[in-house]
Amino acid sequence: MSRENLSRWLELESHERDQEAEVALFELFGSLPTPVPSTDFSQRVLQRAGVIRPEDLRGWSRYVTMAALLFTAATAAWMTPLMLGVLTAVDLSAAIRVAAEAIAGTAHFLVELWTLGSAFGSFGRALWVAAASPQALTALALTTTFVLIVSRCLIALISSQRNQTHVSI
Amino acid sequence: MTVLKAPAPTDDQLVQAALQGSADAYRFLVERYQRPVLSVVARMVRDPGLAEDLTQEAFARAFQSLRSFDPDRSFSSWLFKIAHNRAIDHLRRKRRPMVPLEASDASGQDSWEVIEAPEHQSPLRQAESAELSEVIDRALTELRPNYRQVLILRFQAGLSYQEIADTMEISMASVKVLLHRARKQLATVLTAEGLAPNSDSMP
Repeated sequence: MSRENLSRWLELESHERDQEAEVALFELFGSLPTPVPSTDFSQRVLQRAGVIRPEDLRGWSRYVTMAALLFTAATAAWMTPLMLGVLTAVDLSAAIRVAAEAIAGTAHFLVELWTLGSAFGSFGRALWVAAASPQALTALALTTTFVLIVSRCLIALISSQRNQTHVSI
Repeated sequence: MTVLKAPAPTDDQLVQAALQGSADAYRFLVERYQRPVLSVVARMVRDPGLAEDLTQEAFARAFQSLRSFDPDRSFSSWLFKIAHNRAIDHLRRKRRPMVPLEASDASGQDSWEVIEAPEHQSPLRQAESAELSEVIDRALTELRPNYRQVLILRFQAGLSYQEIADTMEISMASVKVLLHRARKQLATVLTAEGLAPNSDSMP
């Protein structure tokens, strides 16, 4: 059908039969295949427009919540005596002592970390004073400029190589 | 027993419902125009994935601008104008459309998910139609941009002369002149490729 439409249109154009040629061109375009929108096209449009939230996220959270509730309900019946047994078997005073030791250990660790941080801070301050000298700043500026130039050249080189695989139409 | 079907809501009714907050009303509008708008954009940018992205963006922008829509105008022509402008903006930003070498082989296969023509087509006919579509796409790219636009808006989107004039922001007289010249040039290009009337060969 498409080829016949094309031939018919070309023939009508060559004979200057404008009105019939226009109808034939409509038929030609109408006979050509057209792309099919994806199945979730309208959904994506509404998400992009901010009308609805992403459907999959909302769906997932709903299913996870339902699954969690079902699991809790299913396990509540036999978990309760089990938990009671565990709790009565545990020595409460020992548990409190372990917890206190854990907190103390954590606090000690934080103090050590703070001391280490202070040492790094002192080192950093000394480094900053040294780097504030004109010679150090000049060296830093020159190094930064050199790195930027080299990076741009590399990016341009990579881009030009990639563009050689494309043709313009 | 006769079953009466409720008439489909008009564009104006759906627009009003969407303005009052009905997401389903706008979804209905999207589903009504997604295929014709996508076909126009796809014909302009020649990239299926990009066409779908631009079309979705056009619909999203149309929704966000719905309050500024003039109800005296046709919703479809307003929508086509937004989509057309999005495609033009994209082509201008890219300056020249680029096609990877590996896509410009002799078979010209795109990653289109094609539909059949209105009548049922055999696989051979489908392949011929796809090939012819590729030929016409290539011929369209050889035309001036305004010739290409006016042909796509008229014969792909089915817009009237006035709607094309509104979309391209030119006079109706200019539309008629452009269409006449564009048709002639397209015919010249296709004839030069060996597709003379009643030709059995395809390039």
